[in-house]
Amino acid sequence: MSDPGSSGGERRSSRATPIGLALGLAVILLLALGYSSVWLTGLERDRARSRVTQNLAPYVNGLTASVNTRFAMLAVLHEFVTVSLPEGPGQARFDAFAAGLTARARGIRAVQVAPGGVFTFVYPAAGNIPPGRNLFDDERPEVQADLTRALESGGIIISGPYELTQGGLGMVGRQVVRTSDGEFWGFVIMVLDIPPILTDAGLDSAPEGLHFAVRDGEGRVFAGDPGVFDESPVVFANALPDGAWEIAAVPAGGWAAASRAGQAALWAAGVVITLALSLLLFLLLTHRQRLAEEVEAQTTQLREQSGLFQRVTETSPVGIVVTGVDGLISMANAAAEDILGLERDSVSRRTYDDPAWRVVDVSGGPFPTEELPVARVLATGAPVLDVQHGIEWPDGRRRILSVNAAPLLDPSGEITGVVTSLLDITQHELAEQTLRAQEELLRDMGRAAMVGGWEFDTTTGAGTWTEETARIHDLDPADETGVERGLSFYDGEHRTKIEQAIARAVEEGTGYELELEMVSAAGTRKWVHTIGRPVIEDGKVVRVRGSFQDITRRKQAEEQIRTMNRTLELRVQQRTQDLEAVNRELEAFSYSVSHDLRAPLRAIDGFSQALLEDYEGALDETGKDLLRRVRAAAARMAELIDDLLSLSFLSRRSLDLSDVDLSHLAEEVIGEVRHREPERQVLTIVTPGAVARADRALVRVVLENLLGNAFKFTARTDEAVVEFGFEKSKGKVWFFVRDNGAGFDMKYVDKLFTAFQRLHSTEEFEGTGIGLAIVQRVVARHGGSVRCEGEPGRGAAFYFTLDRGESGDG
Amino acid sequence: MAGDVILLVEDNPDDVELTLRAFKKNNMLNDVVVARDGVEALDYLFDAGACEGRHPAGAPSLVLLDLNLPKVGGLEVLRRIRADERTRLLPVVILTSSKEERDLVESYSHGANSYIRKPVDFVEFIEAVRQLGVYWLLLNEVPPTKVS
Repeated sequence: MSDPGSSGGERRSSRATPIGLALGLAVILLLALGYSSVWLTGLERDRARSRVTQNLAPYVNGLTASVNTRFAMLAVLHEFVTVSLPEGPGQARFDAFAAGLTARARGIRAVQVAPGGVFTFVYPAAGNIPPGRNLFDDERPEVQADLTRALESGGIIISGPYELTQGGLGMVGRQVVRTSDGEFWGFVIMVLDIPPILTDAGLDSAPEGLHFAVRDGEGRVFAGDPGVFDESPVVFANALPDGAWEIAAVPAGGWAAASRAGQAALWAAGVVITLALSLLLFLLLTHRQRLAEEVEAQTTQLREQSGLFQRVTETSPVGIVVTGVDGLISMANAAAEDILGLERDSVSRRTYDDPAWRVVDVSGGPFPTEELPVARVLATGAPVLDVQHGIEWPDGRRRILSVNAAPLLDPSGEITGVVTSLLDITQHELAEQTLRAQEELLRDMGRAAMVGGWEFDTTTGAGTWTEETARIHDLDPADETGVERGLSFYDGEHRTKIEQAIARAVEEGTGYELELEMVSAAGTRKWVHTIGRPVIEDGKVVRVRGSFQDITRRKQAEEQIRTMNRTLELRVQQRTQDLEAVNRELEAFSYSVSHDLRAPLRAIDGFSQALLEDYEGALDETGKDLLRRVRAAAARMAELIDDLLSLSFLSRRSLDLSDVDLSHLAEEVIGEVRHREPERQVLTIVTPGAVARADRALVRVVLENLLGNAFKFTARTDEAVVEFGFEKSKGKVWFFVRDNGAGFDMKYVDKLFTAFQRLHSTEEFEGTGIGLAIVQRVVARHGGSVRCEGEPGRGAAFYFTLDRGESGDG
Repeated sequence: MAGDVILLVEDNPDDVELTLRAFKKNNMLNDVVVARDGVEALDYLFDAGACEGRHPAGAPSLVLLDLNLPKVGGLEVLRRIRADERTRLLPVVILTSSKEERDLVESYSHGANSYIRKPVDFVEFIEAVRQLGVYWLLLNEVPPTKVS
């Protein structure tokens, strides 16, 4: 490929040339025309000049003759005088002679003889200078100059023309007369009028077609138009006996007009020819250029097509192979090499049916050679489409090809080769297999999950559904379906619901999800869960599609659960009522216990005491001791009753929560305990800032029990220490009461919190064994927990949390 | 002190006996009128029913009232005492076995002047009665009783 940019540039520059060339030619032709015009003008001027010359010549001759005729008479006079010498002619003879001369021609004004310069004979006398004047006395310098000339030359000397002394325009001819021995005698003089001379020459008026002028030797114009001399006239010098007159003429219309002949024709013809030639040249050039451009464009197109073809071929993912009639591969593109798994060289050395190809059918079985596309095209001459077969590579991989083949024909229709396109459909084939597998999976899954899919066109209402959807309807999957058919399986409120949902999906583009009851084609009532989603294209709902699931079994299970729930609720209600009744009874029982059990005890104790007091003398020490035991037993029973009551009270009482400062509460309780046993020396340590959200009264009971225990079990300890504090662990605040008292064995820890269980004998440490049970009850009611650590003789520590809203500063 | 009459409202004869014994032990020689139930107590106080005409010792200066009574309960008796103009200011001490919070609260809210739980230990009981007598009959000043 040549660079398209540069060739385009060349085309552009050559395209400008035809107009340029045509214009150039026109300029040259016009220049030539101008030159011709100038030349023609010159030629015409010359011709006009020669015409003027020709026309003027007769007049020039006429004038010369007219002047010479007259001065010839002066010569005759000269001879007449010369022969009469030395005495001279005498008046009479002169007059007769002079009269004869003047009669010969018009315009002889005067004939004069001046011997020694003195005018002696003058004819006619009238109107002329009278005799007696001496010429040499004339004061006019030109007259004197003329006289000198005449004396020197001896010929006729002409003066004038000028205004004569006698009046009018005239001229004077003078000739010296000498004696035979050559002595100066005098002058003969003839005065002529000019107009008659001109008349005789025919110059009294301008010759036809000419402007003329006549001037003397000194440039004085005395006849015609003086301006003629300024127009480069044709000039003749008159051959006068003395001096030179000049006669000049120009054409009557001027030279320009005279030389203009032929110009119009020249220019007309010239311009026409110029235009014609330029146009011709332009057409010729442009035609040539158009041809050149066409050729170039077609060449470029061909080159591009060829390049494009090559590129398409090389970049095509479709393998392209050209095979000759001999079966040899003549061309294969890159894709073909890749598909066939061979280098270019080895491809082009093989025939299409070379056994090295290892051609197989799609599933790997043998593929008959005569069925190969190239073979079929060569055999039939007709194209072959989409023949699928495989090629096995040397490394065992197999590729599946889709092959098209078509004959290459020469103009006469003979097959010259076969062009084959190879499409590697291995991936496609694999994808199809995968797709088939996925479809199958989907179908199986749909069947297992009883979920199907459906879709319908909002314009036509026509629909499709999956096998499972059809099966749920108890229909054949092949049956035609659509919105109307689908809706016909519902009735009542379900029909209304689905119709409204579909209408909204179609009109507003909103999806829906419904659980509906339907009656299948087989008449079975089924519950289905259907989800519909609008498919929107260009802002319009074109389809609605969704899923369809048989949920009959789930619905049945749900119904069962509902029934069971209802039963359960009833039972719970019943139980709650029972419990409340029991609670009420228990309350009444407790009340009664607190009253009725204590009254007899009071009586036992009171009357025992009365016995002791009133019958002291009648009782010996054993009797008194027995009565004291009765009293002690009554007291212990009262204690047990009180504890039992408080335990039941703790269980029934509702919690009254507030922020409780446990540290402060502990100090309070310790103060009370100390007050009860002022003799005890116990070191108490209370960490301040233990705050929790709790029921103040109940927490106080806890602290009373724990701190009371701590004091109790350190009764036999020297340097007893009781400590209240708290610590944080795993996000919980553990409050603790620790002592260094009797402690306990951890293996009995389970018994610690059981009501009325004691680890120590009453003699050792008094108590009912209910304290820790109360502690545990209270802590549990707060949602917390209790744990304890202990060792016999080394003290005990009780930890508890009050999870429900516990806090604490640090 | 000897001139003052104490009304003891108590249904349990043992408790009556022991209470009277406690009075004696403390040398409280007051007239003690015993009402065996709420009705008797009210009759005594308001001169009605079975006790009509039996007002041997005049209007009582102190009522010791048990809560758990046959016929009319202690709280009802208390309510009536406080509702009647004549007995509105009469000191009433609840003397009972119960230490139920409910009883305590209700007693005070009905206008009880004191609430004493009878201890099981008779010695303690005597001590409690002694303090009760000293306080209500000796120390406590009552407003002048209306002439009825």
